[in-house]
Amino acid sequence: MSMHIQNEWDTFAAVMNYPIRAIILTLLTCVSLFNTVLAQKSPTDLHFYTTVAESAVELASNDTTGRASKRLARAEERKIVINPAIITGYLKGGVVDEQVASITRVFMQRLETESVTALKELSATVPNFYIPDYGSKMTSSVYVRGLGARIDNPVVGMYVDGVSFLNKNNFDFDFYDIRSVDVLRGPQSTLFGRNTIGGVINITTISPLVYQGTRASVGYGNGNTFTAQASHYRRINGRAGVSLSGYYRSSDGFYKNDYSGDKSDWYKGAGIRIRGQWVKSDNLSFDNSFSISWVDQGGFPYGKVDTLTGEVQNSNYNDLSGYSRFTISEGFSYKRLLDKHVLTGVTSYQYTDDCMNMDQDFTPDSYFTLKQSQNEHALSQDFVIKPKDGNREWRWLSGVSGFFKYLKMDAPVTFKRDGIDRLILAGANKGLSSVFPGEEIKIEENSFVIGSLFKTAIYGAALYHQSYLKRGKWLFEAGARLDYEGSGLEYDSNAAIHYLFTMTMSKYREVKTIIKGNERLNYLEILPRAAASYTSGQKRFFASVSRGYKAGGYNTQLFSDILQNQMMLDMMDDLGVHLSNSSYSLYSVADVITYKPEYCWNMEAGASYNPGNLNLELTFFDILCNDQQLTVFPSGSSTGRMMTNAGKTRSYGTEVVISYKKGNLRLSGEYGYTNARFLKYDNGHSDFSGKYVPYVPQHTLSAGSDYTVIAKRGSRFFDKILLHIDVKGFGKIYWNESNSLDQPFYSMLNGSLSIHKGGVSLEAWGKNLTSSDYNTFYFLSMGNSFLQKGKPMQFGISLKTNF
Amino acid sequence: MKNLFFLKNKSLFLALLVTSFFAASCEKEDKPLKLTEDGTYSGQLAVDQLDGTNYTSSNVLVKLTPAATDGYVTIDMLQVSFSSKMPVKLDMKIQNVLYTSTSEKITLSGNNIIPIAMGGEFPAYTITNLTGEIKNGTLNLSMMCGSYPLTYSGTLLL
Repeated sequence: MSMHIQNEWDTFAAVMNYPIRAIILTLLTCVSLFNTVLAQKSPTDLHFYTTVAESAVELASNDTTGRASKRLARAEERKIVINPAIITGYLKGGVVDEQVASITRVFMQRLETESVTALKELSATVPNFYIPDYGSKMTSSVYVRGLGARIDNPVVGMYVDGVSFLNKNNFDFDFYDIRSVDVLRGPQSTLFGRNTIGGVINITTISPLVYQGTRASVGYGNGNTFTAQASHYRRINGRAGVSLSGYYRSSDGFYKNDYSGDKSDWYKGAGIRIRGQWVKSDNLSFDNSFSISWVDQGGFPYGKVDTLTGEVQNSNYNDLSGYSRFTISEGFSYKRLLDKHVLTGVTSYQYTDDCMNMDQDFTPDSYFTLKQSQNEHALSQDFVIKPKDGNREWRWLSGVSGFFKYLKMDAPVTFKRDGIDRLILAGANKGLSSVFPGEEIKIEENSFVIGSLFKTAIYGAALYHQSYLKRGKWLFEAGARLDYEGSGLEYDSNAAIHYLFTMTMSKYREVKTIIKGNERLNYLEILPRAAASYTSGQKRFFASVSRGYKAGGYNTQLFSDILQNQMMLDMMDDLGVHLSNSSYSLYSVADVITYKPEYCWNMEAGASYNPGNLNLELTFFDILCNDQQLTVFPSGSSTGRMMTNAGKTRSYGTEVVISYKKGNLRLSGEYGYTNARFLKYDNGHSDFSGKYVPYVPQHTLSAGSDYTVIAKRGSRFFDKILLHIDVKGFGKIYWNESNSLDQPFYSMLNGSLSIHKGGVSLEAWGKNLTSSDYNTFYFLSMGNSFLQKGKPMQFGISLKTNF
Repeated sequence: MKNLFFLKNKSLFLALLVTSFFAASCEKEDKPLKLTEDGTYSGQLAVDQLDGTNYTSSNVLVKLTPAATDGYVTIDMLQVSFSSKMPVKLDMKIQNVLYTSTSEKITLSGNNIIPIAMGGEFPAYTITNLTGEIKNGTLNLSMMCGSYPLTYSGTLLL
């Protein structure tokens, strides 16, 4: 048996290796062609600009106010002699810089110093922002200010170079050559629409018009973790630049699967990004970003909790589990300066093809497995117009946007012998054996498939407007969005088995169950926002109120349970037996398959103070959520997960950001407190009113320090040494609605030491250096409790070059 | 227009009814009744328990279907239980029940019939001494089901 499984693993790994190899080969070929062809056209451009812009990036690394961004834009202007207004701020006309909102902006230097390789590693760096690291790269559960979702629609919107990531599955991608990450906390639905009740994440990559040169790095760490990255940025002429970058990353993983003896979280990932920017004239510019990425990994290292000792065992499952994803993203942005207005537009397309294999019982027994293959096309379009003169007393922006995405999901669940015996037949035979001792129902198949095919089309359109009125030291802001969203689900779920009742039947008889149908959802929303700020010298006070909206959706993951129940009822019906106290309840598909949108009102007030090298920010927020969407596990022996509208929730808290820079020392601290509780939540079995919302950390803490040692002029050994150390902490996190299980507050020590000489740097880094013992995820399956332990100490070295 | 259509149909219906009545009157000679269609009855099932008590259940559906062989019917007893201790309800099919008829009633009879239940023959509930009568839309049955005396009385569902 184990041999057989091992072979499956090998085959899976071997098959998935081909695309990664193809990407690496393509990358190498492209780099080669790129250097050969373009170098001939403009050989003199092969120059590394140790630019003002780079200095600006340095300056900006701790900036949370947007000022450094403007300095960066000015630096870009000086360097390339192009009006910066034409090459920056494509997303919503650059409103991110102007918004009265709580923004955390993390720049490249900090990302590299803290060895941030994915969005989840910014947890706590952004206060009250938490993405637990569990499962696989598919599971990007984002929690912000007490709002969050484990499955389906996220609470934050994400943009990378203007490309709207409409599928949460794509949120967890490998970072490389990221210039900045802006996290706008609190609802941004007025400008960004659906699924932004927690905020918006805006990620931008390095611009070839800002930086020219070649960057490369290789790294190695424990867990046999290997990373390689290469990129080249070049200006073709004075008005255009292109870049090509790519990476490869692999790891053996850190969690052992006791069943196979291998690591369960092995990983391979690769990607290419090609970016081109063209300033056609002083009034017209284009920016295109195209990327391909591939992920192939094991996953789901969930360990069963020993009910007697409470200890978390190693993962121990027998069936193939892992995740693979292929993504193509294309974003095309354009800006036109008209006589009195600026028109910006972003057109984006994203293709996702992923596949998740999961041993759903997470035990060595053969209960049932899931293979979920998704194929999605997502298209979005956004236009924004605003006045050209940004210094007017009254400024505004108006926009129109739309999106369409089509998802085809094939999610067959394979029931195996143990699952058939214990999940299906046990219930049926329990009733029969009390009447007919010694007799039983048998199912002929050793395994059978519950096939589920879902086709979902989601589309939306919106009109929005936001005005800014400046009166002396006051800035007033008001806006509203009219947002329509429609969707349709077509489902086809089926299964066939052969059964026999030993008392009366001599031959197996076939019973077929088919559930087919469709559902539709339509919403029309008005999403207003109002804000005011008062700025006096280094002090700034602000307050805002806004309404957020998170789309409703479909519980497709529940179909296996629905069909399993229906199949039992069909079999009993075929047999002419009617259980009076049936444990198999007939689901009303229409009732359980859809869930409603989630709405919230966010009120926040804050202040910032920026004297000299100090930056202080304090924010209070209070969020009232109606119909909050929460994942619950259906009762009984069912294993499905379903989203329900849990009633009312209130979340309030505070965020504190401090940064200080003096000489070569830089200190930073971010703290978030969240008190998120159900005001009203009765799931039909229990009343959870007053309980804390599960999976939300009550505290997030990040405290870090950088110290740079600059070498004396002419040092032969190094130019500078950069020492970084930080502590990140999270908790308490409740794992269930009844608040009976929790993860107490825990902290992790991280650090890095890098030596720089010329264009080369050598870095040693470590994460969770004290090997803190903590858990990142909990769930209940078939009466068993499972936890995923946090990753142990990780460390490694990296060699980086810029030339 | 709609009303006109309705009246037209109503007139047609009345004409047919009158014609049928006269036709039926003409045929009303002492011809025996014949089962040509399925009929479903709803009524009360009573089972004498071995401990001397009586177990009754109401709204029990019984379906009579003419068999392919002339003079026989099949009785389907739907979702029946024979004891309060029985945790499941069963569909039970009694085949090859003989019927005879007069112009006023149909008489059912059968003996030693192994019913079909739970996907096959169910000898534990072998039917003996089955007698029954259909008269004026009422079905009365009496039989031994295994060792349980069973009576049923139901009216035709229209």
